[in-house]
Amino acid sequence: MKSNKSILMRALAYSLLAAIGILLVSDQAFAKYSEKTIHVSVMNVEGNWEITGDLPQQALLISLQGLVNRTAPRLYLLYGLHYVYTNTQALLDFYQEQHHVDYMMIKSVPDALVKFRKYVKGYIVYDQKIRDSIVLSFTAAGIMDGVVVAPDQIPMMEKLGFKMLADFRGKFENMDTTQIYKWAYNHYWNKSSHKELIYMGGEEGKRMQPGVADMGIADRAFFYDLSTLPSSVTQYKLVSMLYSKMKPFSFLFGWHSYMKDYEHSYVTLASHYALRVEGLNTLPNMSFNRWIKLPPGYKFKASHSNLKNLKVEKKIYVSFIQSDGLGIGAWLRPGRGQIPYGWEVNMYLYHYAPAILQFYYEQATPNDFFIGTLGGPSYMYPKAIPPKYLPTAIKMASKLMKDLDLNMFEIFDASDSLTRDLPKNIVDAYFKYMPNAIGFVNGYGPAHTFAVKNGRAFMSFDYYLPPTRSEKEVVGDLKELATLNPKRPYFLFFHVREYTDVKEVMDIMKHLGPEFKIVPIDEFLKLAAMDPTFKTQYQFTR
Amino acid sequence: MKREVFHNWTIMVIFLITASIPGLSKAQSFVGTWNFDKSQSKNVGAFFESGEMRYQMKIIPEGNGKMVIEDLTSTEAGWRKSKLNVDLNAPETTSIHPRGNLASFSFEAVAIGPNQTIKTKAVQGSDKFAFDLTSYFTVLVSQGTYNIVLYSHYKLSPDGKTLTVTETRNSRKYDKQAVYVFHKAD
Repeated sequence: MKSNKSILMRALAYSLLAAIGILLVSDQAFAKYSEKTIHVSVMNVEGNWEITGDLPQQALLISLQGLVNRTAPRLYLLYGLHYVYTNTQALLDFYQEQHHVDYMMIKSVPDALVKFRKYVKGYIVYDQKIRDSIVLSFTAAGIMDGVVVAPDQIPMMEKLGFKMLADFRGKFENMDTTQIYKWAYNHYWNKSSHKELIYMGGEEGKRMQPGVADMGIADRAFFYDLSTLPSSVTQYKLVSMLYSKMKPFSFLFGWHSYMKDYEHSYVTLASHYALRVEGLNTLPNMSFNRWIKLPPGYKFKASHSNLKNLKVEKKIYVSFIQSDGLGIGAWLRPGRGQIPYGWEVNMYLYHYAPAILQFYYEQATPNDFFIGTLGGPSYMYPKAIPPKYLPTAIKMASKLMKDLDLNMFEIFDASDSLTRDLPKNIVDAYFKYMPNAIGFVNGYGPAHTFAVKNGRAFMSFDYYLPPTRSEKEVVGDLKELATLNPKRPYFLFFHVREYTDVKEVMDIMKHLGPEFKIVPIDEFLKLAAMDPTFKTQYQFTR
Repeated sequence: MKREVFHNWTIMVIFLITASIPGLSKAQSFVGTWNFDKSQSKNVGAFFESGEMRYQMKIIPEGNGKMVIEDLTSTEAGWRKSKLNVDLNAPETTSIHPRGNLASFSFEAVAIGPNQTIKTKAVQGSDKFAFDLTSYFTVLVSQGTYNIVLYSHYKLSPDGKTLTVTETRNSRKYDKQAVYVFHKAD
């Protein structure tokens, strides 16, 4: 007979083993869907984003967020409704309702630093006079596990017991941009992860909006702000070198500088190295969002029209697609759901932060139709991608579309300043390597690439709605297009700039007669393939 | 995303002809450099209305009724130039326009194809400070092509410093005229 002491010892041993087991799996538990409540902290980072204004506090918190969220979702930031991404509160509410997130607000920066002290080894001081030193400090923050601070935040950090890890004040005063990032390359490249690069561009001058920095810091990414224009010789050479060191289909997050270069130069250069562009520099909370996983067995279900027994009428068919509509556009604004409407999906989120897509998919009305974008698995220009990588790019996009229940795909290529059209071989590549797509749409502004193959249409936008055009002028434009394209049916694909909402589009369409018929994008593409009154056209031959 | 910047070739042709109209003094001449004034222009299309586009014309006489009109529009790469040759002694002028979208059609899918020929006819106005131009060209649209007829009336101010061009086209008769206002740069 065993003694009570022996039984007790055995029970203690088993308890200890169980406790060890729980500790071992606890980190892994955050990587999988959890039905347990996720307790997080939330802070407000609204402000003016000025380097000598609110940015020091905002940047500090964003850098802290990156460190804190490395191994679990712990800190979420609210950016307010005046920020370019208007959905930070709505997403948090969604996480609370659907993903068992419970939160408490932290009111001050010192409170946040005290709460998350164990994730912060110290601080990095940037030089507010030299913008590149702020960008570089994000790289240092990720590598050194520090937060970024302005000089007048040093007393606060010292008082809280944090030590200085690096001081960039005065260090780069006699250096130009290229020299600064060469210095950063020499000191930090081998210590950074190379999983992605972060182009900390966007607004220049007095403001910076480094929303995406938390993810870059969490991933120990290399940050830069280098021009992608060939005319900026030294910067272009350096950034090309950086891109050449990335594996094909690696990510470039952030966004190009509005002062130094252009979107098309950035994406063209990126595409030359088969790199995936995902914007913007303002993209918030990704270090948090990617921890929120889908419930087991979750399947994405998009709206699809019944395409059987369609009959083509002698109408002007109109279909709308909103640019950048989910995160920064009109999704949360008036009118959505009242007419069939297309929304562009950033498909990379399927792997990076699927709960964001879940949020949109579950909010979608039967009139909200999703389309895969843009050119590849991310934003890529097919004409600039090296030919050996193009099939892979399209296949990767095709796989994502299957995962997201999408059957339409959009391409936009601005690598050629003279045209937005695509040559036949590129169009044929999409037909070939995306066999499950029912159709394609090309362009941002209007374009002239049209084809039909095996019952699938490849169309271009016939109209782009800019924000400055009056309702009356737009109506005049559409009536003119109807005159210029007299055959019926006429298929008019309409691209809507992100800041115009559905209600405004509806107000425009009210002025057009019954000859104009609004249809969903899948029905539009199917009808176009059934009766292709458009002319087969490809990029002009040179 | 940034907008593209396109040509509007039609404006150019006008000045050539007017520059050689007898009776006009040098001060009243159309010859020279003209800067587009967005604030005074109306119904000119989204590109011209945007603050991003810069538009300038130069009219260069070549004697014997011949002139060259240079159309300069700003692009992200700098100024972009196209040239139009006009012969006042011929009943009709033929030019080749660079391919691309047309700014006067704003964001409609309307483009000039490669090696597009434009024919123009000039008619003296009721006074020596004005004339009319009719242009014929074919544009590319999604259904193929469409023949455009562009009617333009050019009016020089008495002091010779302002040129006003009003336009209508056959594809958009129901709308108000487009009014382009230019000021002499030199």
